[in-house]
Amino acid sequence: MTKNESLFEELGAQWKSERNSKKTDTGSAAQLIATAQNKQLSSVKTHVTTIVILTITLIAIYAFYATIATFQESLSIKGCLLMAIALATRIGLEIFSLGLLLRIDFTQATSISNQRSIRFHRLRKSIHGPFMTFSLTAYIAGFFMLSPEFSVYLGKTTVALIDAGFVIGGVILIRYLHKIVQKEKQILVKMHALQEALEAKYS
Amino acid sequence: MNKTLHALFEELYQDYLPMVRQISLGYVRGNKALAHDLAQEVFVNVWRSLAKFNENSSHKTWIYRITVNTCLKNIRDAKDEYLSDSNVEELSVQAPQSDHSNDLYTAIGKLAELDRLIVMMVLDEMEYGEISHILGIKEGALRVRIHRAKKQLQELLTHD
Repeated sequence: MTKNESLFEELGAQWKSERNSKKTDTGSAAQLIATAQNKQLSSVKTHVTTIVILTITLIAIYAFYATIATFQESLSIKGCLLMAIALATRIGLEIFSLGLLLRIDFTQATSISNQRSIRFHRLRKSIHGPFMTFSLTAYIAGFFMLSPEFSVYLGKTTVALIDAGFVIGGVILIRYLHKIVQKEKQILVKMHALQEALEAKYS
Repeated sequence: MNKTLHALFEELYQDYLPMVRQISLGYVRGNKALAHDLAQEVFVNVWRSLAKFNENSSHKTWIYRITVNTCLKNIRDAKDEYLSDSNVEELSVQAPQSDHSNDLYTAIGKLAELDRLIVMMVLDEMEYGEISHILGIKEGALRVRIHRAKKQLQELLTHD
C-alpha cells in the first residue's frame, strides 16, 4: 500500500468516526416540509411577477389608447404598436426563460443540470443586455411618436417634461440593468469553469 | 400519496441528515452556520423533487446528487465570496471541533469546489461508478481527478 493510499484510508476512518460521533440535532422534518412548501422558488416567483406586471401594463396601454385616448394620427398609432411590440417581446422572452428555469433539475447528473443552468443564465444575460436595449429603445421611440399628438392636448412644455422624464427613467434602468448583466456574466464564468472541469479529458 | 411522501421524506431526513451535514460542512470549509443553511437547502430540494423519485437509483445516490448540485449552485451565489481562500483559516477557527477534523475540513476546503465534493464522496466509500453517474462524467476522467485530488490533499495535510 502506498503512503498516499494509507493516508487516505486513515482520512476515511476519521471521516466516518467524525460522522458517527456527531449527535446531530435533526430538528423537525415536518417543519422543513412546511418551509419548502411556503418557500416557493424565489426566481420562479420573480419570473411570474414580471410576466404579470408586463401583461397588465400591456393591457392597460391597450385599454387606455383604445378607449380614453384614441389617436387619430398614423404616427401615434404606429408609436402605440411599437410600445406594444416591445412589451409583448419581453413577455414572450420571460415565458421562455421561465420554461428554461423549470427545466433545471437538481436530481439530474451535475453536468446536465449545470448545462441547463448555463442555458438559462445565458438567456437572462441576453434579456438584460441586447434584448432589453431593443425593447427599451422601441418603447421609448414609440412613446416619442405619441408626442406630436399629445402636445395638441397637453401643451408642448408638459409633453417635453414627460419625454425628458422617460429618458431619465430609461437611463437609470439601463445603468441598473448593466449591473445585473455584469452579475450574470460572473455567474456564467463560474458555471463554464465548472462545466470545463466536468468535461475535462485526461490523457 | 401525500402521506406516503411525508413518511418517505421523514425517513430520508432522519437517515441522511448526518451525511448531508458532513458534506455541507466540508464544502463550506467547516463553517457550521453555512453548513446548516446548506443542509436545509438540500432537504428543501429533496422535498421538492421527492414526487419524481424513481427506484432506478438508491436513496443515497439520489440524495448525493441533490447535495452535490445544491452545493455547486452555491458557487454561483454571492456566498462563495465569503469563502475565499483568505477566509479559510478564520472560518475553521469558528467551528468548535477537534484539531484533526479541523485540519481535515480546512484541507478539503482548499481544494477546488468540484474536487472537494469528489474527495468527500471517496471518503464516504462510494463506488467510482456511482460518483461518475452522479456527476455525469466518464469514469476514466474521474479516476485521474481523484488521483490528483488525493495527492493535493496529502500535500495540504502534510505541509500545513
